[in-house]
Amino acid sequence: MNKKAVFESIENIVNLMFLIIVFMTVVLMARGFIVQKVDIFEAESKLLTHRIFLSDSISFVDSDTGRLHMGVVDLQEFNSDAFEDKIMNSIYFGDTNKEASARIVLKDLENDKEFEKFYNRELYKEKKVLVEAKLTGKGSASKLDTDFYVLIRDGNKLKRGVLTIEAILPNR
Amino acid sequence: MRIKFLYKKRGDIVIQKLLIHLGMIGIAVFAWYLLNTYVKSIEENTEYQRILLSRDLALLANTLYAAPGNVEYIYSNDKIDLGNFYFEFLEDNTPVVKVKEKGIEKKYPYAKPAEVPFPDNLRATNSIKFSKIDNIISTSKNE
Repeated sequence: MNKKAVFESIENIVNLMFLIIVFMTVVLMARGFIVQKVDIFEAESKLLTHRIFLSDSISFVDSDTGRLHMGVVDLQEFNSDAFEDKIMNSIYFGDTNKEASARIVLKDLENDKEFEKFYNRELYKEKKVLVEAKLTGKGSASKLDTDFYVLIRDGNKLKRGVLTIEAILPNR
Repeated sequence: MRIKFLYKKRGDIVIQKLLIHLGMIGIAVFAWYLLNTYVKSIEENTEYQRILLSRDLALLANTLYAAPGNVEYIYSNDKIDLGNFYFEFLEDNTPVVKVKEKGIEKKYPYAKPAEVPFPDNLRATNSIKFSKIDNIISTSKNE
């Protein structure tokens, strides 16, 4: 084989490799443009927040009419030991809930007192660490804070308050 | 690439070059065919629809359970032919919406009140009717 033939053979191999690289690049670029991810975190977390806020575990229910008073938090109900079980059953993600969690804080603005409850306490504590570490992607979690100005029903008295719901959902 | 029998004479290098160029054209045609097949497979792939429908229906179920009182809602989608899919509502560690098409499925979790039965599974045609009465959701074809 003369030198020219050797050079041409090498040149052809390089050309072929270049063609393969171009082909692969086009395929990778095409894959990059295909949208497969549908991010519903915001809608999902807002829905969870409002579901907690509107649940009969938090809002005052008139025992005579059975009517739920949205935005009026029954302090006795909120502080009861059964609160967390009740809310877990009304927003039921299975016996081992790995899908959603929240920290619910009720602040009494008149007496400057705070009451804290959880929806799925274990998952909240597990995922809170990941949120604080600002990790992203699958396996991590995202957080949404929402404040609601409410009236706190303490016995027959109504007081001003803020209900803060900090929803944490795993990234999917 | 040197093909020995084409090198008996010095001028035969032209034939070799011609063969190489033909080979290149062949490879380019093959690459175009592969790309075309790939694009077509994406066009026919319904994974995105399955992901979208499972999430959309899970959100809808969550919304219906969150709504106070009785609700009736007709779910339709003008971008996706719902008739190609089979919808299941079942327990899979957690309540899930499962969207199936030709045996391939995609699921997404949703929350229902505990002790409440699951909505019925169904194959829709154009739209699905969701009725929530006393916290129990039932599904039916809306034709």
